[in-house]
Amino acid sequence: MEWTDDEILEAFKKPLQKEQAFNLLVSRYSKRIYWHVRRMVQEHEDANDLTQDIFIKIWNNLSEFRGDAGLYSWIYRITANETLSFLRKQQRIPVRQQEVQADPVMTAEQAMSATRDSHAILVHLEAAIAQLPDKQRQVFIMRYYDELKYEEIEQILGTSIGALKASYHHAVKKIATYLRKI
Amino acid sequence: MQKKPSDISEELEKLAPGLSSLLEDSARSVPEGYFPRLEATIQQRVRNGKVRSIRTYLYWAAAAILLVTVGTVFILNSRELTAPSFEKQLAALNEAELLTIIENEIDDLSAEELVLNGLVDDYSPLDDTQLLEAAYDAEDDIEAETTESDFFDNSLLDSLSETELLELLEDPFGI
Repeated sequence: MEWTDDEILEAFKKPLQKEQAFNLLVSRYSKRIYWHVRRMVQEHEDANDLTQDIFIKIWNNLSEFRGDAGLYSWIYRITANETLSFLRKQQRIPVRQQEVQADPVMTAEQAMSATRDSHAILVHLEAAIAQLPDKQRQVFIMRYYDELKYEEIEQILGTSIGALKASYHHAVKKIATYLRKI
Repeated sequence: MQKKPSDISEELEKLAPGLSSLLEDSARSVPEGYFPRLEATIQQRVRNGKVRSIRTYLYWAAAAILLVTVGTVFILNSRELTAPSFEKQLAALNEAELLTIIENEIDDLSAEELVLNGLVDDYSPLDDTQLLEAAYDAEDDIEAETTESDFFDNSLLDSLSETELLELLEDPFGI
């Protein structure tokens, strides 16, 4: 029988079940956390380190979780904050974006032709997403890739639904414009 | 690839037609067997972290004890520096000030304290015989004083003439 988030939380409070509960939590959320982080930071190694750090933080703070929001939202909030904090510390332009921008003479047709190759699509798309401001990128990834509802994102980021929709709208337009240019 | 929820696909299609097909094609990869390894690594780090946290508590406890010890020594030293001892305070007084203090405080001292502090030469309680002798001595002193005063009065009377004596008897207060 699969445990609910509430059951995991209850078990986490009991010393004998604490580790088992946490392991369940890791199994349930590690992929989602990893992919969110990976899309934000792009590099696998960074995403790997950051995902581990996020779960250590969850382990250290879960006993203080009051249950005001859902456990998933709480975990996601930690993930979002840690990722933005990492990006701020790095203050770097992703390498892949520089690679794509290094070929300014490529026409739109050539770019579209290049995108037939799946690797090329990935490179261009990552560059397009990477050029977004951090917060906008976060909203785009949460909405499009993580498939969260605006209400859920509102709870995680504490931003109004109107502002989230505006951010998502701008993000999509910028990605489309970027891809059209190459 | 899993199909996107319709609200998300439709929203994207409205904002940027054709973009969804590109986004769906993008697939990043991870090394083979990565996620089970990731889970194991996290669990291992948590176990190691628990050991580290106990060590951290010990470090903090040791630091707290050291801080309290150093703080106590510092406070005691600074008190000694800022508040001079009784002997130092006495040494700072001049002779007149010392005498004033002794005069003010001497009534509060017992006989033993007077002797101990060198304010009187000797002290020992008196027995009954000594008390009686002291009482006789005191009586003699009073008598001597009385005699002396009487003598003084008689000599005054002797110097008066008979007329003056009579006047004195008639009006002793000279009214």
